[in-house]
Amino acid sequence: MCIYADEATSALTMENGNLNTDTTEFSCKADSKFAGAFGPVDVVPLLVQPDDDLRLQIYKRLQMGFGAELTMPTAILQNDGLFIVGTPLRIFFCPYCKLIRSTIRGDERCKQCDYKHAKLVYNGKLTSGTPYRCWAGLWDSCALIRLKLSRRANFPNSTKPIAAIYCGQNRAEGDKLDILESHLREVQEVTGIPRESLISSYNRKDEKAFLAIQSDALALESHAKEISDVVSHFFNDELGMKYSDAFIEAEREIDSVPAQDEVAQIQEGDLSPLEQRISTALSAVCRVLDFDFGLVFTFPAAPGQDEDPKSAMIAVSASDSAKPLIGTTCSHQDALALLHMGNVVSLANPTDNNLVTKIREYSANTFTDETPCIVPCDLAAPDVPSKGLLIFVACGNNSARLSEFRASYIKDGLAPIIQTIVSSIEVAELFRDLKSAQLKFVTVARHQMITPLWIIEGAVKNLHGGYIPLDKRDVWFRAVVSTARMCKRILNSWHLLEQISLKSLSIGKLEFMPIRIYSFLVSLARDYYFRAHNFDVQIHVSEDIKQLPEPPCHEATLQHAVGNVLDNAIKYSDADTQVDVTCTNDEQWITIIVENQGIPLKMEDTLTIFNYGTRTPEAERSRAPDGTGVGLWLAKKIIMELHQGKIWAEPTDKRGFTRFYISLPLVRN
Amino acid sequence: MKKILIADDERAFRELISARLQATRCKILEATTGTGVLLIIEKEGPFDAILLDIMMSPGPQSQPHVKGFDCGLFVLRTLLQSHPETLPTILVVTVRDDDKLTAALHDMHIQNWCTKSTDDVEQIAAKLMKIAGFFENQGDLTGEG
Repeated sequence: MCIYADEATSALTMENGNLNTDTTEFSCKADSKFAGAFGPVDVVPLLVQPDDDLRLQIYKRLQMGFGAELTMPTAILQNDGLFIVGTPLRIFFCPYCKLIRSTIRGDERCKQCDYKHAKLVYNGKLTSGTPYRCWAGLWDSCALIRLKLSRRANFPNSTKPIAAIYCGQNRAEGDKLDILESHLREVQEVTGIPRESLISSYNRKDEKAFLAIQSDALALESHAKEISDVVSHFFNDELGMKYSDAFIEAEREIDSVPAQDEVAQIQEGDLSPLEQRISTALSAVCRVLDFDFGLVFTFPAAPGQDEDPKSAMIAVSASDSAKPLIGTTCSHQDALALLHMGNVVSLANPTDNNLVTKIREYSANTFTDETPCIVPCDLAAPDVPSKGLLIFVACGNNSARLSEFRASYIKDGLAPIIQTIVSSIEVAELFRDLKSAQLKFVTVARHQMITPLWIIEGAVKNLHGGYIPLDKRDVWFRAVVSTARMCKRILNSWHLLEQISLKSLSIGKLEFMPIRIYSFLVSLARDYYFRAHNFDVQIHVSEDIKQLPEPPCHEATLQHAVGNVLDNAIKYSDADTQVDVTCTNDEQWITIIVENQGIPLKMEDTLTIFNYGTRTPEAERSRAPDGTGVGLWLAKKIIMELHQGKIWAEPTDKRGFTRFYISLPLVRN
Repeated sequence: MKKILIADDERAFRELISARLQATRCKILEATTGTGVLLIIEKEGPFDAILLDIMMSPGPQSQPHVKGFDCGLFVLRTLLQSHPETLPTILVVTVRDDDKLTAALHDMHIQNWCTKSTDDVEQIAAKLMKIAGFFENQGDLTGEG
């Protein structure tokens, strides 16, 4: 499914100068390409009527996406109608706990330390004009960017946002009514609440018009169903984390849009030459600084135009410099609001008085060494009388890089700007990262190999010296063989890792043959018997899976993938527990399930554990505190890229139990 | 009868060292987690020798910030605070030489330590037996002492 988002705005309105948080009207133009903050996107409307659990879940996900405190808007907490996400209008900063929070309405009390007078650092003026709409849109878009980034690992080939919030703004009447109807359908689908109840829950100044279009509403049902499915899959833990076929299908559809056409349309229609230059440079900087994307705001250069609410915004992908993603508008106020949110870095012209003064003051008072910081600079190009404000949305702590970046920037000043920085930082960064990664890998790899080799040597010496009782000799002989095989497996894993990293593994040359899953798993469990025994864990392969269809697989690589998942389960199991291996199947897929009991997997970690080099804090406290963090990444690569399958993990209802799922297609495309 | 504690989260390591000590007929106890070490020492101590893997899991009841070889150091510090007399009985085993670890052990006045990368089962067992005092009287090796 691919829907084009309209400007992501809130339906909140003003009544007698006060914010009306009870409004429950929305509209959204679903097909206005490039009108939305991120152009064509896969839309996940958050316009659902959630129960408390789902509401909390959405909220938590947003918080997670932001990595910052976000106060639940009053409208969400109190309103039983549609669900509005984002649109914080007042932002508070607590001087004691350094907490920034945003809220639509609420007192100044700090949630963290209960300080009564948190400083109001941004008081958004709600107007009916563009600034507010765009500001809200930007906010929402950023939230979604973070969400997308946290999920991007599951869609390595995707360059598009996975989702964008779309909350409607009152636009053309026809749009509003159509979309109102579709929203109603969505809510109905998601919540199961009777249509009549929903209608009555709307604040119906448009009720008559609304009722008039009901007769046409059936046509929207399928669309609404699609949306609600995505909502379910995206936000419902039971279903969502499994990345349903529909969701993946949506990703593929989005990916199938010819990128070049889109670039051409945007570049020709929306970007000035300066904007194009900035977007290219910004993309390079984002790449060097490890940001996933950047946002650019350009402003008119003439003095006194700071109050001009409009400026062009361009977002660029770090991975593709020639591909700006969006074009929309934003005011200085809005940009400042984003800065207040933290996780944002800006580069502003130091002579751009009002804005820069505010930014500097804010920067000095607010940002710490841990916070991405503000860098004054001049973006004026010699032949174009424009100045710019760049905003990077930071993903993670980049303070060290930013300091370096800032030093270079201030020193060299202006125009050659980004290219100089790119060339100087890029090389240094590459070498530093490479060296650091190399050292870490060698250390961990050495640790991983020494222990099994010590066991082999010790067992052989004990056997030879007669220190092993006769009745246990056979066990230790097998242990030696098993441990040696484990060493070989580790070495082969590294080779496979190298092949996949260098993309020297050609899928076309691999032979995919039907395999008997039961035999495969039993054989694998046998290989891992001693490994499990060593951790006081048992492996149990269900005998109920003897009669299953035989998926076409490349057995050697699949052994690595499933083996890594099994090894993971063993390492993070409590002593004297069992790792259960079983399978399910349907007409298209066969799914291997590995369940263990031990260190619980947090829901938020299910999004990142398959990332390269990622280890959870809990993993470091496990019985295998050292690890390269590439095992599950390798498994993901093997399953998704070589086998066209799916892999995911989730905690189960039982506390401390975790399940890994590996789905293999019964027919290869 | 002498008592030796072997603390390592890998069963194979414990069993191989244990097999080497069988001839001494000493009482061998095993611990698999950091907290397990402290509990056993409280319950069964004192020991003539304690073999402690510096890199082991802290155990389910441990403090959240304790991990990796911090766990081993945490166990050591706790042990030496509550039972300073155990200092000469401790043999720390680690996978690798590490400056940070060496410095930490030095600060705690730990004299006995070995690495899996250089010491095999025979050497580690011998060091353990020496700490336990078996070589002071050869009869100990046969359990007669």
